[in-house]
Amino acid sequence: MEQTVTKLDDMKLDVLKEVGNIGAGNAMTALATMVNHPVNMSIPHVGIVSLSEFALMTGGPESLAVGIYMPVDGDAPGHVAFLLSDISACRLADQILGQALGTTSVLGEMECSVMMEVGNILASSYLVAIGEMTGLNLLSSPPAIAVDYTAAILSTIATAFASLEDQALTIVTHIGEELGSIEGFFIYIPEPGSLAIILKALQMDF
Amino acid sequence: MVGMAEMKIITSPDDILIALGLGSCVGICAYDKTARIAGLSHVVLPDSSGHEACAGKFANSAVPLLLEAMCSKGATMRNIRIALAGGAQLFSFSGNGPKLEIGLRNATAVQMHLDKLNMTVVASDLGGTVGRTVHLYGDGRVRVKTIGKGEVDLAALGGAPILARAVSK
Repeated sequence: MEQTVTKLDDMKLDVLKEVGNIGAGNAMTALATMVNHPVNMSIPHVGIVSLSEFALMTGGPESLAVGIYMPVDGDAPGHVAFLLSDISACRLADQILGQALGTTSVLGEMECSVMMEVGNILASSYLVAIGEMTGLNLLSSPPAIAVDYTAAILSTIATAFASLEDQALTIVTHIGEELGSIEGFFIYIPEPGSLAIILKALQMDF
Repeated sequence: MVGMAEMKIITSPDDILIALGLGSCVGICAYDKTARIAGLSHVVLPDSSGHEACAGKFANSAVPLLLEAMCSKGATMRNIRIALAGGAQLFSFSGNGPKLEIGLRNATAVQMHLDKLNMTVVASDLGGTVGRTVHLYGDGRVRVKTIGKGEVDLAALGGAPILARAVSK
């Protein structure tokens, strides 16, 4: 069944912002524990993004980034991605591997494997919190990783839902470590059918 | 700027069409030297399989859409020359992770649908594991930018000798 996301009233947008808040909040706690520094996050931005704008939504389309992508299965299928600049990824790898900041300048196989694990933990934390909030069973799957232009990463992720949709409801949260050395974006894309399920689980009519 | 699933045409030699950060998507650059018409299509998926809402998104519908749009502006099919870029496999995954391996299928589908219409691809930079930004200039020049190699000439569809042919494995 095809269901397009065209209109959402303010109330639903607020609820979805809260969903993003709860998910990102839990993921931030996990990240803060990993890096041993407080991590800040923005108010999630909820919007319907057309395919033509999707690759540009975080800005800096030609900047080098690391993207970790994870499909979501279970009661409400969708997609979760964690995107951070290559510099942030190098610093994050240094912190997790217990090295001095600046040790990692190129993301090799080991650093990518670390990033994959970090992405796995963060995305899972995100989904666990939303699962607890909604009572839905959201299953995370093993992640995939790419290091390339931001736009190339985002457009490739978009192919996962583009066959049926020309636009996507995205819940985007900007995150930053307090010291400003690590920043990135959490992107959650519930599939159109899942939107109704999530809102219904939160006692809202869709 | 030609976003995902979009197709644009320019008729001035001073204009440029850009497809930013092609990952698994394929950029079809087409140019008619005589009519001086250039068109760029940003293909996202290989086949519409019945979902026809957005013709520019799928190889099977985007190829005719691009060529017809150029011809309606005065281009002639036999004068149109083509260069292709994109179709990469960006993501690596653990054992059973998501593959997102649409790149190769996109590249194959675009080439097949061009073949069907007897269109010649004079240069291509397809496959591999890196994202590409493609610039199609109003004079038919095609340049491809990657993170590793910077900006490189791929073709001069306006008639000058072809400067490069790269097919990444």
